[in-house]
Amino acid sequence: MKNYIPKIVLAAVLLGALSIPSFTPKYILHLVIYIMIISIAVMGLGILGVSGQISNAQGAFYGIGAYTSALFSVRMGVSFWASLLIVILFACVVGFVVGLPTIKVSGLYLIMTTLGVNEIIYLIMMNNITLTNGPQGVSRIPGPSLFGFTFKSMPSYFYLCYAFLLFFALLSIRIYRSRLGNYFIAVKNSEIASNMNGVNVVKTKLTAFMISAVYGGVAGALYSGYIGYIHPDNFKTDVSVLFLTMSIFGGQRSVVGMLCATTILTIATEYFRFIGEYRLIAYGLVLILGMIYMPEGIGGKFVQLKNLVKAGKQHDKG
Amino acid sequence: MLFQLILQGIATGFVYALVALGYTFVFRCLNQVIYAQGHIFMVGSFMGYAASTKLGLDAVSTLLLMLLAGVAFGFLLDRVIFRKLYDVATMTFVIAAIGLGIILQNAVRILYPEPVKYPPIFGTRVFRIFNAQIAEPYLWVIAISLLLIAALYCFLTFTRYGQAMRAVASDRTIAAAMGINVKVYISATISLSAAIAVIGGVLIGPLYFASFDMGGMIGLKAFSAAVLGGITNISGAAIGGVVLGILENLSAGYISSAYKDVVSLGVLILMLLFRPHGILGKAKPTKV
Repeated sequence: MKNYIPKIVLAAVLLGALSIPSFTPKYILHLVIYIMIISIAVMGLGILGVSGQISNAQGAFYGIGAYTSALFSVRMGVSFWASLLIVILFACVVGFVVGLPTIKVSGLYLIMTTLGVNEIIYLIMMNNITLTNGPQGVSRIPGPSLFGFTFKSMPSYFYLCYAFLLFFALLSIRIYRSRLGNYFIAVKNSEIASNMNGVNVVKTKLTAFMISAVYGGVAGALYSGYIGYIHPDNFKTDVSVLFLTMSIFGGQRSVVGMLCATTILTIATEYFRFIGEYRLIAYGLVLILGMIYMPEGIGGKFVQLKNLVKAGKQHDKG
Repeated sequence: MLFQLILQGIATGFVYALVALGYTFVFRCLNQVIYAQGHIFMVGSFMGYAASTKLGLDAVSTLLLMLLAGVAFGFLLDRVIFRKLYDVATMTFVIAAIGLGIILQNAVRILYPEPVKYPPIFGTRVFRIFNAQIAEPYLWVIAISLLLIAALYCFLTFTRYGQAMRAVASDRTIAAAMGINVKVYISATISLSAAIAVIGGVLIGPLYFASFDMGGMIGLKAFSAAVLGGITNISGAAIGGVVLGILENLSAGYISSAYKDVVSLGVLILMLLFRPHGILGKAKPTKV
């Protein structure tokens, strides 16, 4: 019976979340929607992390998703859903190309390579004016609509993002538990050993990169549909670093941990506003202290807690 | 035109080299990179600004004071933050350093929200060498960097302390068994790398405006420089910095200044793909 408790709690939280738009003020609702959107991008990094890779270019994929969706719908009148398909395809292609260096490099070098990629993509967004409007950004992006119903109001957009978030969270969990997930873990633990056991390391790594790019792209498309205006500055390396810190802070194996970390860090940057200019300093302190005292992230704490409970139970039995 | 661009490229390149040396030192010692090296550089630039305007010091005394201040700053960072992170995973270290970068950048933003113009401590004269014109600060950058790199080389090669530092870098356990106080030397390494970044910041001040957000880009480019030369190799960092500076200046002059950063980052990516151990470094086989 006891094993059902976490599931019941989870179901209650999921159902309870559905009522958020009915009682929260507009500003909070806006934050919640924003958190849900970036959570998707952060979960993409989690998939990369599980396969032992690190990307500092998630902000660029987020930007590519936002720009692709926005430009197709503004210039060609393509609907949001059709543009979403294009986003997914395009994210796959770019993810594949950006992922190519992973065949050769890992760890620290990979962080810097992807950071360089992000900077290059940002410079293209900023300077290639014919393609992206450059520093003017893209405005008046039509939001998504379904069977004549447009997701214009904030509550309706909340439910849309909720559906997307739920889908991608479940997808992440499915992937973690699938054969592919096992490949990821094998590659993370030892590339040579997994190669010896018949795992195609290159293919596995590139797959992880493409999946995480799709997560980032879809999150970007949702963002552009929600805000209605995008600018290259929204997709700078700072954003990538933010996503990366969120995923590490959450502990990349745990979807719930990453959701918690995204929420906590977003709220931290918003609610430290009362200390004015010192807010980002406080944010930096949170990062440093978090890494010193919680190197495995929030998800790691969950695992510790679970082990403690288990040990306690065994103690009771014995 | 060509000669002019190369000369200026060398000067910028030496600044990259100074920051890159910081990466190299720490990497050899801890196998980690202090991601905030560029931000330490930026703090150095502002410390130099404060010293030269508030105290009215001349060039040489500013540089000496900043050398001391840089060592103290690095020591402080080590004691407060990095000492607890000597043995953590790469990612943890990087995120903590990112946090440090955010703190430094925003602390400076509060003090100096606008870019500041440096006082002309390094002179304003313009020299003609063949058909190129070069301002005095550029020559200072080249001279001081060369001096500093030579001094560091001598320190590491010929003195007892330098040898101990290299021993710690090559194998911490064995060094400890030989009676070297490892923690002190790691701390000294971090202080030293912060000090050279600070000096780099002071030197670049008169060439550009000093602003709180210049750290990230310089840090990234210096990392490209370190990788280009071979991150485990001290002369490699210097050569990598100079090559990168020249390449970047040439591409700004002949291709497009908007895309000059693309060139240096492209160099980084290509190097990592085809020769990750750099021009001078040696490839390390993977252990099973």
